[in-house]
Amino acid sequence: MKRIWSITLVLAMALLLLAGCSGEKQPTATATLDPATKIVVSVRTLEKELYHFELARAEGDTALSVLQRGAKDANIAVALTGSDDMAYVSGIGGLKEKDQGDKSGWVFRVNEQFGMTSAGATVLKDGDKVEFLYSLDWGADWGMSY
Amino acid sequence: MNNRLSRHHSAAVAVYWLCGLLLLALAGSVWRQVGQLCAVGVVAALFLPRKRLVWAALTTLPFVLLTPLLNHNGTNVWFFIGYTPITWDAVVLGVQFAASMASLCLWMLLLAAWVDTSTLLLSLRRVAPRLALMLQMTLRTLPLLGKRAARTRETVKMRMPAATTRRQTLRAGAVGLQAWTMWNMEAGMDMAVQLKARGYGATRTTVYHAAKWRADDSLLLGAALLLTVAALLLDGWYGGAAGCLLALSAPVFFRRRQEEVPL
Repeated sequence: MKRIWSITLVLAMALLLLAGCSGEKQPTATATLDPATKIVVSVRTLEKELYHFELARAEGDTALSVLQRGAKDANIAVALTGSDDMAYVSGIGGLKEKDQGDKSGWVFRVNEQFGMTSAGATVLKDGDKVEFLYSLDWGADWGMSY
Repeated sequence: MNNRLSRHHSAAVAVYWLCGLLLLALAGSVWRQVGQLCAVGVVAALFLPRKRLVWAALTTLPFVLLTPLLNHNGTNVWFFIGYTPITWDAVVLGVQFAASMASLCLWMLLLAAWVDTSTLLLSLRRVAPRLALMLQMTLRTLPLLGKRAARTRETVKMRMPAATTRRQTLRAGAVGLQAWTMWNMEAGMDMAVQLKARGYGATRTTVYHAAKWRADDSLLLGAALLLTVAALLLDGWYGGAAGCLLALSAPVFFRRRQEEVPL
C-alpha cells in the first residue's frame, strides 16, 4: 500500500513540476522570415488544409522537427510512435491513424516528393515545403506508390 | 460472506459466475463501454468492505498519471515537455481507464467473495470427476505448500545458528529446501496411498449434493442468463444497468436460501 502511495505521489509531483516548467513559449519567427530560407509546413486531409506553419530553418532540421516546432508554437499535439530516425507520426491535432478506416494514417512528402526515409531522418534544406497528409488508403489516395 | 452461495445448487452458481466473467471479459475488451463497466463497479462497491475499495482505487491511480505521459493524442493541449504534448484528452482517457480497471477489480473481488472454488468444482464433479478432484487438490495444495515452507523456515532458523556469511545463508536455505521437499513428497505419497485405498479412480464415484435443484435456482440461472444477454446486446449505460441488476439479484436469492436452510 505504501509503495503504491509513493509511486502515485512521485508521479503526481513529476506531472505538476513538468506542468509548472512548461510556461515558457518559443517565439514564432513568422514575421521576420527570409523567403529564401523559410520552411513551409502544411498539414492536410484530402478535403482541406488543417494547419499551416512557416518557420526559419535551423541546422539539421528534419521534416519531423519542423512539424514538432510549428505544432508546439500553435499549441497542437503531435503524437509519435518511436523517436528520432525511427519516429512515425501517428496523430496530429487529435486526428490519429486508423481513425478513418484501417488504411488511414499520416504520410509526408517534401517538395511534392514522397521519400523512402522516415520524417525524423529526412533532413531539410532552405526553402523546402513539407506536407503531412492524412491518407485513407496507405498513401495511394495522395499518389504515393511503393 | 464466503459461503453465501454454498447452499445453492452448484450448477446455478457456476452459470452465474461464468456469466459474470463473460460480461467482464467482453466489457473489458471494449473500452467504449466505460459506462457499463463503471456501473457494475459501483454496484460491486456497495457490497464490498471499504478497505478493499480503497485498495482498488489506489492500485489504479497510477493509470491516471501514466496515460498522459504515454498517450499524446488529442486536441486540447495542457502543456509540453520539450516537444512532447501532454493533452487533457489523455488525462480524461487515463481517468476512464483507471475507473474501468477499478471496476474490474471490484467485480472480481465481489465474485471471489460470493463463490468459492469448492462450490464451482461440485458442478464439474458430475462431468469429469478425476479432473475435478485433481483441480480441487491442486488448489488446496498451493496454500499448504506455502504454510509448510513457512514452518520449515522457522524450524531451520531455530535449529541452526544465525547465518552471518553468504555461504551460511545458502547452506541454511539448502537444508530448508531439502526438508520442505521431503515433507511434501512424503505427504504426496501418503495421499496417493489413501486415495488408492478408498478406490478413487477405479470406478465412478457417486456425487453428493447438499443442495437440490429448486425453483429459486432456476430463477437465479434464468436471471443470470437473461441479464448477461441483455448486457451484451445493449450498449453503454443500458448494458451497465443490466450488469447492475445481475449483481444486485444475487444477494437477494442467496439470503433467502440461507434463511430457509439452517446451517
